[in-house]
Order: sequence, then structure tokens, then C-alpha cells
Amino acid sequence: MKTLDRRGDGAATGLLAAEPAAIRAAPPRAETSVNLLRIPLVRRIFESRLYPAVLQLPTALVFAVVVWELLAGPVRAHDNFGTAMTWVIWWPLIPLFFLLLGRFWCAICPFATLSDAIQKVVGNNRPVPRFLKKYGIWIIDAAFVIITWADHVFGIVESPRGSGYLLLGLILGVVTIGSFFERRTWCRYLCFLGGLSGNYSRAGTLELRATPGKCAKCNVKACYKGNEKAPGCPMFEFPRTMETNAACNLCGYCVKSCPNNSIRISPRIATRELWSIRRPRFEESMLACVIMGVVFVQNITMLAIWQPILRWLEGALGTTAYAVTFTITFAVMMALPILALLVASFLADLSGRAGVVATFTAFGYALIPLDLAGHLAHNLFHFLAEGKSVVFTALALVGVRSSGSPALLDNATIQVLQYLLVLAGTVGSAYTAYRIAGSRTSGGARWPALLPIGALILVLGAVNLYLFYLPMAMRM
Amino acid sequence: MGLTAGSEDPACQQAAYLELQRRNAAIQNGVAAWRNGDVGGLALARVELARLEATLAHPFWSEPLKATVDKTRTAAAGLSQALKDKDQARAEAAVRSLADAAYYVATAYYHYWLPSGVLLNTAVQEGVGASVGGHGDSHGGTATPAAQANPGPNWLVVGGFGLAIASVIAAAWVLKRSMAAGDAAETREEPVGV
Repeated sequence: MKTLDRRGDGAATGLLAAEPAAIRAAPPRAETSVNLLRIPLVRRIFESRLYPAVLQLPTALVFAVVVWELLAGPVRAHDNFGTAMTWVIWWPLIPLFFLLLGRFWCAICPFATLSDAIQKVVGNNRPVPRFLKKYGIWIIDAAFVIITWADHVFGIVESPRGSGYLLLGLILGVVTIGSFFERRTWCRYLCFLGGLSGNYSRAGTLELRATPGKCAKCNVKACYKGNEKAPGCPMFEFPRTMETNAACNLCGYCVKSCPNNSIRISPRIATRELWSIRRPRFEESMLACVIMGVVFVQNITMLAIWQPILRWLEGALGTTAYAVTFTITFAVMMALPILALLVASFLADLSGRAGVVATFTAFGYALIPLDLAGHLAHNLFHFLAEGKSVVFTALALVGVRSSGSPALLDNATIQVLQYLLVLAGTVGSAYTAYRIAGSRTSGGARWPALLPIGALILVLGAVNLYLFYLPMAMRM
Repeated sequence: MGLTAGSEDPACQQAAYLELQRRNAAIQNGVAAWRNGDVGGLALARVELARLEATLAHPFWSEPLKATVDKTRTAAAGLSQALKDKDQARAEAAVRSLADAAYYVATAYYHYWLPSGVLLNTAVQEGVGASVGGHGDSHGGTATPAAQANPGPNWLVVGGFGLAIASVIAAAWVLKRSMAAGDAAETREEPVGV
């Protein structure tokens, strides 16, 4: 049986009890004008039994090679195919995926494939623990910060073995969660990349939604529970009430299972979803701030100015222990965007009186476009300046020696692209803040609320631009 | 032997780095002299700049230095134009840019390039150096056979993870079996209860 309710009646297994509260009271939602599923080829792909499996398999195979290379291949990152694939190709391109296709990567992610396979064999399909539903995003926030910190202190990116052990640790987590809990509990509630991808996908240009008119007459809820055509939504989403693409991975199960052809996949303007978040969450805004801090840390530590800063810190603190000096820098970099947004929220709230935390929560989403742009711009350098290293290291795998510059483009061109990205992100963030301010205020109150946030966005954009002006070190 | 033979050798880059800093200092002196009214300073700056540009173009700069060297090349091109136009104000601004760029090269040289060379040297001595991807754009490009050796995986760590994963799968399997048995027992017991 293909449904996730493998033991028969959903009620008996507690699946119905796990239904989201909103499943019983779907708010009406306007239909979008363009539905990509009306294109016959697109519909055929999404309805095919081969999708997404046909993409999962090669991804899993490449992943297996990457893991093996990281664990058993050359110890120098410079020569390791696993390092090149992970940190020069995958990590730089993944934000672009999120922007263009939402969380589509999550549908073909090898960890998710592994989780599905483990579930089929030994899965206990237990309901998601309540604390995970409540605090999962905080765990994701913390994991993201800890992994970034560990990368710098233990040199995970620079060390193929370190990267390999990180992947082994993640595999252990995925196997553990997949063995005991239903659907993709790991992906939805624990994957450190899931938090990032959720936030970025909100700014993405693709959305999956149901057609309210068709869903109103439906009482089978196959999209959530699954049927003989496809399992229920692996990400615990109920398309009828979906307001965000933060969790949807475009796996197409709901397209296959819906008996009413209710599902629509529509293009949308980038950042549009951020303009009107109905229920903003503090932890998601915090993650947006944390990502900004992470981008700053990643940039600064790869710049030539990092060494003088480090020397100064060593002198001021009286220690040369990198773990100490970096941790202090890291803490400051993480705290700066949070404190800056708190101050801006306090100023923005002077006229509104909604509360600083509520204002912080609402406007935190406005940082996401700039986060995405900063992340993309930073990694664009690694992709374009080191991209050919994947070819060189792949050829080395089969014993072919090759030489030449690993760069795909010259530095000046890359820098211009970085500036353009940051400018686009700044404009996206500023416009998002403008729309959020408009939705939270009435009459002339929009501008007093917007000005402090807008000023903060401009400052963050300018800092990003300056950082990209400085020469950066390579990964390989 | 061709003129570019050995340009990928780390020693060539080292020599070029020292030459770069020397020429940069000479250019600054020349422009300063020109500013103070010595026309010979302009000629000196031009000669030194031509030598600097030739130096920048000669070796195959390795990755830790490449980005900063590219910036230096751009700054040098700006200065070259200013000197050609005999535009003193522009030349002084360009000299400052060149000095900044050279400073970043120095930082990259001492904090990225040399330390990674020390690491490689240590690895070679220990016989655990890297295999060669062959793209020869860093000091590892001409690695010795010892540096090409691959120590293989750390089986203790990999085995530990494998054992942990196997334990989790076994525990899940046992739990699944016991739950299935429990479900069957409940099914059997139901008629009794009824």
C-alpha cells in the first residue's frame, strides 16, 4: 500500500489526530491566475509515478560518491571531489534553487530519500512529538548556529574528513528520526537546512496551493492522508489551508492523489509571500536575523581584513586561542542584526504601540530577501571563482590529470554580479518592509513605522556591499 | 627551457611576491618625487610600474593570492593610465589604491598562502599529504609522491557511526516487531473483551 497510513485506518494509527487544526476550518483563498499544471507536460511530470523518484536516485548516487570521497578521498579540500561538490557547487546553488523552485530540493534530497527508505523497512510511524512541533524551529535555529560555529572552529568546510563526519552525523539523525517517526519529521522539524530553505522559499517565485472552490466539496482529504495513487503530504501540509510555501517541497504527491484536480502550481513575484504573513512567528524572524549574522561571519572570515581583526582581538583578550577569539566575533556578529532589528522595531513601534516583540516578529521577514541575496552573493564567488574545481577533481577520480584556473568568470565580473544581487536584495527587503508596514498600519502611520526598518535595511545592504568590495579567500 | 617554465612553482610566486612589494615601494617613491617637482620621478614610476605589471603577469598565482593579485593588477592598470596622461591627482589616488591592493596581497601571503604551505610541508613529512587533483593552482600542484598518499578513512570514526546507525535500525525493527505483535494480541483479545 502506498499511503503513509500503512497500517490501514488512519484514525486507528493516530494519523487523524495528527491533522492540523486548520484542516477542519479552511479559510477561503483567492485563486491565482496562472496554473502551471494546465501545461500538459508539467501535469504529466507531476502525475507520473516516476516523479520525483527518477531524480532522487541519481542524487542519492552522487551523494554516496560525495560521502565516500569526503571520508576516504584526498585529505586536502583542494583535491577532493566531495568538497568541491558540496561547498563549491551544492551549497552555492541551493539558495538559487529555493528562490526559483521553493523547497524542490527537499523532494530529491538524499537525506529525505534515505528517511523514506528506512521508514519502509523499519519505520514505526509514530506521531511527531508535541515538543518538536512547538520548538522544532528553535532546534533548527540552534543547529544552524552551532554548525556554522563548528565549521569555523573545527574547519569543517576546509577539511574533507570534517565535512564527511558532519554528513555522517546528519545521516545518523535522519535514520533515527525516520525509524521512529512518521513522514518526514526530520525534514519538517529538525533539518538545519530546512529552516533556511523554509525562510528562503517564502521569497521564492513558485507556489503550490489548492483551489478553495474544489476543496470545499472534498471530504476525503487525500492530499493529507494519501490514497492508492500517492502517499499523504510527507511534510505534514494540508494544501487546502496552506498560506506559505515554507514547507512544501513540490514532491507532487498531492497532485497525484487529489481526486478533484484542485492543486495549482503558480509563478509569483519574488518576495510576494512575505508581504502579508498572516501569523508571523518570532522564531522565524529570529532565524532571518541569524542568517544575516551568519552571512556577515562567513564574509568577514574570508576577507583579508579578518586577520588584522583577529590579531587585534588576540591582543585585547590576551589569548591566541582561535576558539575564544572566533566565538566572541561570532557572538557579536549573531547579536548585531538581532539588536539592530530590536532597536529599529522599538522606533517603528513608537507610533503604533503594537509592542516591540510583535513589531520585531512582523518586520523580521523583511530581512529575508537581503539574507537570500547576501547568501547568494557570497556563494556566487565560490561557485564562479572555483567552479571548475569540480571538473578537475572529478577527472582526478578517474585518474585524469588536468590543469588550469578553476575560475568560471574573472573576479571583476563576479564582483559586479555580487553588487547587483545585494542591490536587488536590498530593494526586495525595503519593498517587503514597505508592504508589511502598510498591512500593519493605517492612514499616515505607515512611514513612521517604515523609516527605522527601512534605514536598517539600507545600512545592512551597505555593509554587505562593502564586504563584497573587499577581496575574499577561496574554499578549495 | 621556456620563459614560463616553473611559473607554477611556489618559489616563483614567492619571488614574484617579493618583487611586487619592492616595485610597489619604488612606484610610491617615484610618484612622491614627481609630486615634489622632480620630473624624473614620473619616469621612474613608469619604469617600475611596467616591471610590476610584468611581474604580476608572469607566475601562475595560486588561489590564496589570486583574488588580491587581480585587484593589484586592476589598480596598476588605473595608475598606468594616470601616468600616461600625466594626471598627478589621479596618479596619487591610483597609487593609494595600489598600496591598498598590495597590502591585501601581503595579508593573503602571510595569513593564507604561507600557513597552508607549512601545512602541506608537514603533511609531506608525515607521509599523509594529499593526492593531486592536478589543477596546479596552488602549491600542492606539484606535490611529491609522499604528498599524493591518501591515508584512507578513519575506520574508528566511520565504524562508530556505522555501529550507531545499525543500533538505531535494530532498535526500530525490534520496536516495530513488538508493536505488530501487540497489535495482533489486541486484535485477538478484542472478542474476549466484547
